[in-house]
Amino acid sequence: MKITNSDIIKSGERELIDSIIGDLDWDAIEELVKTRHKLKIQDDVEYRQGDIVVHNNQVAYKLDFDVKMTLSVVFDRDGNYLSLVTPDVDDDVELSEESPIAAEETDSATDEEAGDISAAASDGSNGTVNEETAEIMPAEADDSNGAEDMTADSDSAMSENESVVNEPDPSEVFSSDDVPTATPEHAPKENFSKMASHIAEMISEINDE
Amino acid sequence: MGQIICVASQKGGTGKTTTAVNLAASLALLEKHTLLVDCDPLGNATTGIGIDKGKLSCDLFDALVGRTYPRDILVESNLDCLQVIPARIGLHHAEKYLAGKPEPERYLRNIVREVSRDYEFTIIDSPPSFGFLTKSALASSDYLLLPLQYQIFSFEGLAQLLLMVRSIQKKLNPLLKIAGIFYTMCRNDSKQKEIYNTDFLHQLRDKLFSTVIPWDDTLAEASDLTCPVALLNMMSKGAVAYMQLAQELMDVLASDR
Repeated sequence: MKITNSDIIKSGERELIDSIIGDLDWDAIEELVKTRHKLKIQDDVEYRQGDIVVHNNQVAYKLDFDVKMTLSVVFDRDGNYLSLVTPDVDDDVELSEESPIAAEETDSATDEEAGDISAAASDGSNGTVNEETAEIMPAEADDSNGAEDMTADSDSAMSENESVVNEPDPSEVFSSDDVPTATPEHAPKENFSKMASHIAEMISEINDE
Repeated sequence: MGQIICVASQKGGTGKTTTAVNLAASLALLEKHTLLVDCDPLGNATTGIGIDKGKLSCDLFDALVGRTYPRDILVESNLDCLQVIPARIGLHHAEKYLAGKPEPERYLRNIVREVSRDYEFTIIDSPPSFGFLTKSALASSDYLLLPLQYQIFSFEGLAQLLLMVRSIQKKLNPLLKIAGIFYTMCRNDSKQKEIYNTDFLHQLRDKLFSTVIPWDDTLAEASDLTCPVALLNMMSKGAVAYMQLAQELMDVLASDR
């Protein structure tokens, strides 16, 4: 027996989650991933979905995020896995059994903190650490010994990769030389004329006239 | 599929949203099945067409992030032939949600392309910026309609916008074209004659619509009453001008086919 309109409830819940997301301190979230989980994030943390949950008999909010990061798998010439590392957070950090994420793979502890990224990864819920990461983790948990530091070469290669990700698209880097601007030494009519001519040329080019 | 026209201007206050609302309403009054897509988080086009944003259960943002099907966000307007995809302030989160996806501008494009099949004309109101939503709107459109004030700032803004248009055309939307420029907020008839007859603007003549949107207090009044000007006073200068612009736009697009 329905006693109220479910659409109103859903819409209200959605608005609540939206408001929470709207006021979220993204820097704090990223800091949490960086410091608590020792992971270097390659791009912005992305929100995926949110739910209202019960945690320790209290209402809580569980937000799922996507986190993109660079991870390097190190293996020897025989193909044996040696280590899994992420480029420096402050220093290069190697994921080991002590790492919160790796620990989750061996310890199926319950979700201690709503929104805890590592916990969500272990329970298989979507929208936390990406799938690629989740697949790598069990191997890490199986063998975290024999660790080897990343070489300087591979480290710098990652840095280059990251800089490519962060650079703006060259086709969208416009300079002041690309467009004429009004200048005080020209009379208004000259400025208008210069602009109009440029605009007309660009439209002709865009319309392939 | 009908034609998708984006009203775009990098500079604010050029009459972009007023144009999107009143052009869409004018096309609908000409019995053309029309869709108005509000792509500005301010949601002024949504309000301006007479939709109460507080009563909406979903909007463009929900479709962009996959919470709802595109067709589920369509809202009826007060005009028989006009439907609306509304926007609210939450739309400004869209970039954050879609960041990192390959070509995130295609999300809006896919929605618009799917829904616009049922309409003869789709009018997109874009935000006054170079941001993600504007790029998405450009990537989603067949034509751009460019409002221009007879002010040097407006000319500068248009020149800069065209740089972005060219970039979007190369990367995302090779079929994108400029339908034309039209002057807005023209304060008197002598100014209208001036901008059409002066030699120093002759380069623009073949890019210009002959319709000029005059300064008309009725347009502002209609905005305050959250309705298209034609529904307030069909014979007002603003309403007549937008009907002319709608007719001229249809002629231009028909000749381009």
